[in-house]
Amino acid sequence: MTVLGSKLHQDELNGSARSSYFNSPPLDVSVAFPQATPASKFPTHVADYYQLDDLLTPEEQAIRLQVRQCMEKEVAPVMAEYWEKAKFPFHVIPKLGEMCVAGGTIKGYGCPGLSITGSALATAEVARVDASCSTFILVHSSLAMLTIALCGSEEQKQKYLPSLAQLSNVACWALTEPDYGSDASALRTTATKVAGGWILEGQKRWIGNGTFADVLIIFARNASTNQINGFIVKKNAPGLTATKIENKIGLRIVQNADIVMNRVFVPDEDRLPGVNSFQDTAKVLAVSRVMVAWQPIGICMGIYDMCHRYLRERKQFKAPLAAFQINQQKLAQMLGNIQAMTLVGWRLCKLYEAGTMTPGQASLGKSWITLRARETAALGRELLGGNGVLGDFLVAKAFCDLEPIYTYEGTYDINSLVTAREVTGIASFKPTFLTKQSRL
Amino acid sequence: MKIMVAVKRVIDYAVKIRVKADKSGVETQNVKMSMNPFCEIALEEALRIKEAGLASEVVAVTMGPKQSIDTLRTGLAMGADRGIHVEATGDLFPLAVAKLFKALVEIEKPGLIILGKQAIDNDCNQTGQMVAGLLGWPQGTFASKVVLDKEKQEVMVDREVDGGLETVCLNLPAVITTDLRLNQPRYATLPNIMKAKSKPVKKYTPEELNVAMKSDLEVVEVTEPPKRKAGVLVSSVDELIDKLKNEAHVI
Repeated sequence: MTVLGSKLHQDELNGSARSSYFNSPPLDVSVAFPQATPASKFPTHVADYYQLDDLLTPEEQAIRLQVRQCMEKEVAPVMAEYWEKAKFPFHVIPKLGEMCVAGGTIKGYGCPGLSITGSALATAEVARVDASCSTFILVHSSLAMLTIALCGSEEQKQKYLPSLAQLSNVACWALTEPDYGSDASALRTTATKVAGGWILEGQKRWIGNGTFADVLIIFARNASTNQINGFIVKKNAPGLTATKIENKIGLRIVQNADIVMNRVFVPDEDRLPGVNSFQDTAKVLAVSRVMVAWQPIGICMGIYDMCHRYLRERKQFKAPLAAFQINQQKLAQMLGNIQAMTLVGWRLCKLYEAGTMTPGQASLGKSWITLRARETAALGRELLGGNGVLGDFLVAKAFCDLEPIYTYEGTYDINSLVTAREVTGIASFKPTFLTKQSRL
Repeated sequence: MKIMVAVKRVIDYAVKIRVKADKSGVETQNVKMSMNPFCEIALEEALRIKEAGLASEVVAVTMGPKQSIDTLRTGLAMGADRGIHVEATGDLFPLAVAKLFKALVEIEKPGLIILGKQAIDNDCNQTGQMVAGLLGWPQGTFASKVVLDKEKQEVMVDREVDGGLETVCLNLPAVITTDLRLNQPRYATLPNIMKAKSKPVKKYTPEELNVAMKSDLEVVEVTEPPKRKAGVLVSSVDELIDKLKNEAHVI
């Protein structure tokens, strides 16, 4: 290679006749590898081995099918390219808006008013095809819109919710800061009262949809009460900058933003009256955690559906991959994980609907499900061999997408500690070296 | 004006069909069923006409066994106001469907009937034409464009015919059957899926509509098309001409 190296460089510089040999466009994956169908033609749904449909109402079943149909048709053909380029397929937003998938459980104001199970299933069906799209909707719907619905004034709900429900405006939700992720309640962005409104000062990081959102829900510390308050900020507000975070390895289609607020003015009418402490923020997170728990379920169903088709299409040693015992064992292991994850998720929804769900239960659901999902994705990635590192065959993309999902909305570790605090009665978030007592 | 739309529950277009071992028909057990794609286009057109303010109500009609109600619910979720389910088991051939339709038209008195041009399970392409014939109404089939004039009570239909496009002008009430390029059906919105449950569905039986279900058609046998034979490589143009002349008899 090194012998040819300098000659290649020369050819590139000269733009000689040989450059057409070196610069031909890449082969389409279905031409380069016709032995198996890529994810642009999405595989049939076969992961429901224990018949989840039997537990659902007819509306919930119809919602699943409708969302699945829309995603398979509109997103599956284009997602590999957008994921690789880390760009957002804006042309898909009107299609999702047409289906009115945004707004989930919110009743009225043009929102779907689904049951939590229906909303969770819709999230899962989006995630099954593309996890980034499900995060896009989740941030917009179960974080931003839900905050307005639970903590907003009547005027704010009427002003913002209808256009957000139709996705004619997009929203984001800004809690995390460079210095405050797991320790979110200690955040440092300030909100100082001035005549007619508030001045926001500080920095946020990892804000999904932040680079193109029309409406930003921003959490800041009220300078006088020292408690967390919530504010509705519009894009283009003077002093507000939102820039893209690059080089992510997962959920690459989600446009995460660094948001800097330099004396951003928010009028009084855009302060959320229902957010007066971190407890109110936690109320919203409790619901969204249930939705997040269903993303890995959907993702793994997609992985299994893909592996199931691939193993029957791809041949080696003159037999389909599905004929080899090792591959069958992996498939069965993945399938078992998916049934278990689905039933945990479903039971969590039922606890929520009964009004008895505790934060520890939600945290256990999210943490355990993401743990099993990572294992399932790893198995699926192995099954596809070389194609398990190509985004075109879904599994590699899903594998990478599960990494941020394992971490966001409460890392696995933090969620485990939330559950453990609930069952032991002892909080162990702060390291013991901070206490003054000697352990000797 | 009321629009009646026919929707049929058929095997989903993406399913790989298998013929039953006894050759009596196609395997439908545990096979995914959906609304006939041309019926979706018909319903979408009806909804657009209603949204343009030219119709007051869209009624979706389906005929078939108990499970056909699922297809009706999909239609209601897309936006139809009411549903009618004619519950009938056994094979439903176009003439029987057309007669049932005529009976429903006498009850409902719609100003326009829209159907898909054909169902993808039997490819008959007869029902719309028979309905128009039985009712004595004008018909615009293979519609690729529909423009309604409410004041003049007529509808202009562009038809996709072998020679190109033909435009006909029909007086209402009329029958239209839809072709592929007429429109792109909408996704049922999630709120509409929730509301579909509460929309009324009226059930009828063929007896109640005074239609005898005796069929004049009988399916004798269903077989798969012959498997495609491997091609043959020829070594010269002369050999090709010889084969075309003496074996295939095409020149």
